[in-house]
Amino acid sequence: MRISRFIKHLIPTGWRLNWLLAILIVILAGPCLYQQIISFRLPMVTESPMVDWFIRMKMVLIIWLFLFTVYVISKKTPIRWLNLGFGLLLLPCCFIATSSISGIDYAYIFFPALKILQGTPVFDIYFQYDLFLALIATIWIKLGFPLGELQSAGQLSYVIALGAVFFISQKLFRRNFLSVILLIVLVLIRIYASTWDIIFHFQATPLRLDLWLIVFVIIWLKGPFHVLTGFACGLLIFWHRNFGIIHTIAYVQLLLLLSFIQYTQYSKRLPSKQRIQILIKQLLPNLLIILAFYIAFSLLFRNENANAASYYQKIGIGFLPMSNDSFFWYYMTIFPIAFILLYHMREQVCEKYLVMGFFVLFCTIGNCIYYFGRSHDGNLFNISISLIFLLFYVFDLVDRLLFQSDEVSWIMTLLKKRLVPFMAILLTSLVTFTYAGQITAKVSKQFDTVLSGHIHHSDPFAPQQPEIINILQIVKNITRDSANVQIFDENSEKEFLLYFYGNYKPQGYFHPFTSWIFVDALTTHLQDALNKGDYILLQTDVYNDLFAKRLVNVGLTYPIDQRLTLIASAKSR
Amino acid sequence: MYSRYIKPQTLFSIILMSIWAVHFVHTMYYLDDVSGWIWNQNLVYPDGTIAPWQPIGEHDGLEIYVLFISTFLLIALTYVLSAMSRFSIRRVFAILLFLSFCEQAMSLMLWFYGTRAKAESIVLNIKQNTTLKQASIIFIDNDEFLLDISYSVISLRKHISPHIFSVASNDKTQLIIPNLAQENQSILLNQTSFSHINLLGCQAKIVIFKGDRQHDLFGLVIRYWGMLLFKPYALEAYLSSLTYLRVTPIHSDAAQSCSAW
Repeated sequence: MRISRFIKHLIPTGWRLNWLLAILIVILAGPCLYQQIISFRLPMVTESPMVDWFIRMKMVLIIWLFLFTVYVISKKTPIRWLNLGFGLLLLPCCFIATSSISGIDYAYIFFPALKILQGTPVFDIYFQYDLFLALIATIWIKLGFPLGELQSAGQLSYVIALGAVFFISQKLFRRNFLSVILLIVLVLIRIYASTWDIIFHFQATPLRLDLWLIVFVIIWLKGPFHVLTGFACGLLIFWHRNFGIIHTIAYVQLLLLLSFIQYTQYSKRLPSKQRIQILIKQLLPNLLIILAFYIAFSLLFRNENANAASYYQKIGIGFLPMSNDSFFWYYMTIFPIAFILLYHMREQVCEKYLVMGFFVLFCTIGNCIYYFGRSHDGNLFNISISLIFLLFYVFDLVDRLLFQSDEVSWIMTLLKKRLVPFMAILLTSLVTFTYAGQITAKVSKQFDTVLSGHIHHSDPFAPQQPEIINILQIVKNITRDSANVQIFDENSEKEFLLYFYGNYKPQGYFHPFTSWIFVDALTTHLQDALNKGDYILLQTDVYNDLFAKRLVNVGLTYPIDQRLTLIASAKSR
Repeated sequence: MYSRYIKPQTLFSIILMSIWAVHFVHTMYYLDDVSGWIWNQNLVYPDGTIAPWQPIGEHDGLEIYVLFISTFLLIALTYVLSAMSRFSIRRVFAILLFLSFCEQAMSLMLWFYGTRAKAESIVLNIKQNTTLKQASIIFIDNDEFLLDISYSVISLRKHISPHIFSVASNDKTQLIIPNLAQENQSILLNQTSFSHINLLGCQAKIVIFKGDRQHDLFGLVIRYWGMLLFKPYALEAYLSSLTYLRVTPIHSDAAQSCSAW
């Protein structure tokens, strides 16, 4: 009896049961087949260390206990103390490293920084990860901080990004408890479930992937049409080209949608000409600011080599196709749900909530471009801040939808009270259970790091490395301390160290060496260097395989170690 | 005019329609092999042009743009379906049926014409090969051509010779003798199980590889149709470049009269 009443309750008024069943069969046939094709598997599960069920359940129980404690404390303690507590808890989670950093990844940021410091014009510098990260590294080096400690900036960005999402979600969401679970899920997924340490790749920190939060906070404080928002987008394009453009597109999408909504709302009161005038007046300043920044950016960074850099995308270097069993195909269902709920509830929620919701949606879709490029499931963790934030936004929308319903029945009362907290806790439990191995491994590594008296692991960029000193000594002896030495080593980290500690100036556009795409262009560059009388410190096997027969004007070659050969120009002898 | 307010119950149908829409895009993307065409839209350079340390084996063509746009199409499709469901459930039902039908039809059509183009290409290359002209028995080894072996064998038998057999990858040759095949029988062909194999005449084994102009299914069918409709004179050259055959004459007692052996 109860079940039949429940089914009747689910059927919208006016729907005929037979049609509903027919449509359900058609609609469910798709998902069933979908499930057959794409097995449901959370990303990178196979990379997570295997642990038995007991440990998984223990982890889930710990999370439940933590949630219960927070729930009890939140009833008795003012919210600001609770927030302070969470802020303090975030510090060890973010600042204690679980592994060393990737020297190769950081070299791609240090190289442009070194060139900026040496006075190379920005249009003549190759930025693999855009200007912003290189500027941070430039300031870091200028201040004389240890190179490897740049990871602290990345760790700080996590605290700020997670903190910002947590605090703003508290203001937006109907339930504070949902914000707390959001923060816990973010910490679990972004920090602990991912395969690598959060600062292993500096390019994957919020300093690169989550700068949309800057625009998000400005929209929160000043509104979407304020000139400061347009100014922030312009600056993002200028300093942070690729993601700047992506987030600006998200912002423009937001403006257009809001204008459309306003246009339909004004229709009852104003003539169409007046409506369009109001909208143009509202849109124009910010669009012009963005355009001005884009033109300035294009002029400043105009360089014939910049086209060569765009070949990375044209050739597809480093790009991966999306797998047909990627978890992302499941996540994609969130986008339409979020849009439809936000759009239909536009008159039931406050304007700020609506604007922030649409912006999070468009930014999340924009951020997915990062994953669409190199569709490795590990990259889903890198953009998980926006992905999870949007998911919880949908939870909150569902909560509001249920809460605003005036239907009175026992089932609706139950759904109103329990559905969304249940879904959020279920998600937390699922994540904890699935990634228990990775989470426990990372937590124990953090404990080990602290017990060893440090918060970071060994620094691959530390000065006084015997191998680097030895190579530099030999090179300086042979070249008689010549400053005209160019270094080409596939080990980008070592290549950078030789440039940095040898006080050499990187010549040409592409650095590190592995960023060169075309053999002919590289040959021309090397030949020019030899013609100028420069010394070339080149990887021996690369020289033998690629350039030994191509280069002319080669003088003597000196093997420096097992990997590197110093090539002297016939002029420099 | 329908209400702007969503009833909690409608949420259920929005979720289902969203899942259906994603499934629709997913099927279009992979089952119909549109993805293969998308992934192949990268600049290709001759060997040795790109530095060897660059991972050029990894590429995804236009995927970034296609998936980005698909996300918005997904939103639009789900929105339209959910909006229409408020007016007429029957119409939504009809649309879903129609779209599912189109999707399946496209999938079938691509498979049919793609396989046909591949088979025609193999037939053409076999006919042009002097060694194979003399062979009375041809074995097709498992190929990397992604052609359905049984389909290709049937197709080749029709066009070339009845004595064309497929070879299993585990070195045990599966022979389907035409007469027996009609009775749905097959036997394992090797020296022990079928000792008279050597008496059957000149034999050859072919392995089928992707040719220089072998494309994904979607691109293949588009080009095949394009050639059929607009450039029929270039079709033969295009088809012969689709596959590459490696022919190995098989030594046998009865093969002494065959010049290539």
